[in-house]
Amino acid sequence: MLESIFDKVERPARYTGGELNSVFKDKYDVRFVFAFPDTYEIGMSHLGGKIIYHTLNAREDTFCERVFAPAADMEQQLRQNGIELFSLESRRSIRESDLLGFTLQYEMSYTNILNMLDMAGIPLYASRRTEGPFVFAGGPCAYHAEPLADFMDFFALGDGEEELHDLIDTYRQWRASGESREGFLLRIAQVPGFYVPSFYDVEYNADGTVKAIKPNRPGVPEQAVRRVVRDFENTFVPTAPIVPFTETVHDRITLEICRGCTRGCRFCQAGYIYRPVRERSVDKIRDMAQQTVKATGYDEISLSSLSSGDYSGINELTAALSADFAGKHISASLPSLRLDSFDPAFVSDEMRRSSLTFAPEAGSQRLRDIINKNVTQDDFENTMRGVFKAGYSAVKLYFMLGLPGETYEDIAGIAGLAQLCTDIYKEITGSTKGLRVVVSTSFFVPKPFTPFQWCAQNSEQEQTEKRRYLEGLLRKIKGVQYKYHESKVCFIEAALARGDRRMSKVLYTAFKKGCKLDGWNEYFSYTKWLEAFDECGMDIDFYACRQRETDEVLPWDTVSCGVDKRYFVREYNRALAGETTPDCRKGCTGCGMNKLVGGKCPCEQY
Amino acid sequence: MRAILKFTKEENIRYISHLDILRMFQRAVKRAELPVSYSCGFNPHMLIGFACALPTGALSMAEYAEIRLDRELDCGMIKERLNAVMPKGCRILGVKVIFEGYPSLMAVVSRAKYSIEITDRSADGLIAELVAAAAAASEITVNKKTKKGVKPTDIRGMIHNLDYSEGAIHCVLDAGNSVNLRPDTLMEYFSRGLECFPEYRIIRTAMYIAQGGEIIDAFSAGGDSFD
Repeated sequence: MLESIFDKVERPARYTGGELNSVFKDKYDVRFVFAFPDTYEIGMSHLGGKIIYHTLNAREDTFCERVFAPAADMEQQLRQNGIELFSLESRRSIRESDLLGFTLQYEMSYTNILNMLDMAGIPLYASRRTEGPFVFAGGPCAYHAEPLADFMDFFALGDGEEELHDLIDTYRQWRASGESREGFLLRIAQVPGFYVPSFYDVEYNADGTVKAIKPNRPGVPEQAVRRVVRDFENTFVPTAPIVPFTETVHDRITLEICRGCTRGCRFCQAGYIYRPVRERSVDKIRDMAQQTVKATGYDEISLSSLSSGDYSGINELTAALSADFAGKHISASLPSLRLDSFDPAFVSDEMRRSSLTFAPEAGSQRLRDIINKNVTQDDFENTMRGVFKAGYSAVKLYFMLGLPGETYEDIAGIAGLAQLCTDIYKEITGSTKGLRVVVSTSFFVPKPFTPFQWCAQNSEQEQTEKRRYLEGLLRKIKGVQYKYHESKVCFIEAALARGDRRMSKVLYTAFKKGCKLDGWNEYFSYTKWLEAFDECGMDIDFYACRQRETDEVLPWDTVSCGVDKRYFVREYNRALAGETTPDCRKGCTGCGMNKLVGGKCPCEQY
Repeated sequence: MRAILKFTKEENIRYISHLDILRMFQRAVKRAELPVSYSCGFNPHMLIGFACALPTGALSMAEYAEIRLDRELDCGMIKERLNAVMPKGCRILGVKVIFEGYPSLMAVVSRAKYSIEITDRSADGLIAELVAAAAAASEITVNKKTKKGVKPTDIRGMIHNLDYSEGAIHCVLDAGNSVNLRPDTLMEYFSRGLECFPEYRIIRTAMYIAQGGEIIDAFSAGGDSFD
């Protein structure tokens, strides 16, 4: 039956499994299904999923399988033929699992989650599930996924590699106890890192803001706090990860050299939720590289972290890897390079790429100070000079529009940097011939757990006007191309990111209207989403474009990422005053993480 | 040294594409730590080539690749090391040295033999008739994808040894760079002959090359076996 379906769909290898290093078990106690709510080629490029898959499968008692969102043609075949969504390893319905975990990487994947549950015959609302798997979610958006609260049995917060083992242990203990399903939720609510939304009631004010969020039974913490892996050096690393047959977004080895970031850019959620910074040693990384190359046969290694140029042993590491893999046709690359820690050595010889990408984010020092992107014009000049002298002629520069406090002067500054870039190229090569500068902008979406979580997003009209203004300025600069991310998606993203529980109605309605694969241009329908908001009597501007007061109760106050809320308020006020906050490697800035990890914060050792 | 490899494409990797097979081989060669040669220039790539793509969804007991190595290695050793690291579904059946001057396999591939197994035997009689009619016909016109686009083409001359027995259509079809008839194109033609054509599995069972004026099995390329 399945074979005839595989013959009818595009790229069937996305559903058939059997990849090198994939796992199959017929003896186990717990069947865990890891669900990535987007297609295979996106999901299999995600390192987190590989860490979870391989660490759970290393347990004798657990069989961890995978499932991804099917493409539209496969979904049609499944539904037409009455086949429930199945896992890749054993090709059984995901409904027949014990634990079904989704990873929340971006808000626009939420409708895929509902669609996948629907395709598996699993009731969408948690309250209606009387049997079948416990459905939960982790990943960065899990910190503020109140719109999914009615659909999830619980959330897993923070680093997953240890807490998921606690989850399985707790699950087995519960199953042996014979308690009701609620008994399991009561148990998991006691385990650090887990948040059970149904154990909290939300009260609203007349103006629509949240009045209070309180536990509705004893023994439940006021706030669920994330997990932090302490011994990062020795924590599990998948050194024999699955090697997909079919092309994915990143067909290479990804080595996590460091977790966390100390720069404190105020718009960046990742910089706050992945604290504290924890580095792996050069020798450990070299060892990881050797083992993973041997187990996979990939010829490209990506040295991944939030800011790889800041890794304290970066020069030592790249030199060592160059030597280790000399003559073996294996190259290492450094993504996420900052303008103020760039070294041309990072992109020379075997690490050569076709174009380099940098993110100044804002066009003026004034605005960069507000957002705490501590990069100066000198840094920009030096880096551009270094890049062009090294023979590069293609550069991509990322900026955001709609940042808090932004003026048209700041936007003009973007054009100024683009002009400066072409001037430097001309100075070095003699003309603008061959120069390809791409300026790319997207609109700022305020995110929870950042100092800008109270800010308003620019309205549609403001966005169009600003974009046109910049377009006019850039058109006049030779060698510069402007690419803008003009998608209405950012409004839905902004609303979902800071949504409260009432937004679950909108999510459900959008799903019913056929919204899915919203991360893909060809599927996203702004009209359907707006209709969904309208039909539910919910005002999208209330969530996306409203400026909040810092004393407002936020829908995600039931959860903590380890950074004290007062720190976010302090940083927000510093932003308003245009004051910067230095890299906390240079000296603790008091975010509160040290209380969670106990004693001195790891960041201080680097 | 130059070597040709005969390998299988079995159930586990049935649905991967031809390009996927190339990438799979490249990674296997790296895991096996074979001293494979690379091309020169800015973007060196491994010198591995494949003869005759197989449609995605088809199986094979006779696929061929050729590889160039920087130094001599025993064929048995190459076979063993690759088989130790190959994903499930691909087995190296044989490795043989090819002398330097021999043309690339791709250039000499001439025909391929297929066994198309019909899973549901209830339409046996009807299919036998269809196949017999095709074998007896002097012309079979289908819309065929050519380099110049999709055109009505007479494919009868590209079909050799066509028969139906024991629930499988056996045929030898032209294959390679000059004239190539895909087995799924032939099956599309047969499918139109019945209201509801049953499910089937295409299995390539042999590949043939043109050498010295004869059509011989691809593994005999270059003359006597060297291993």
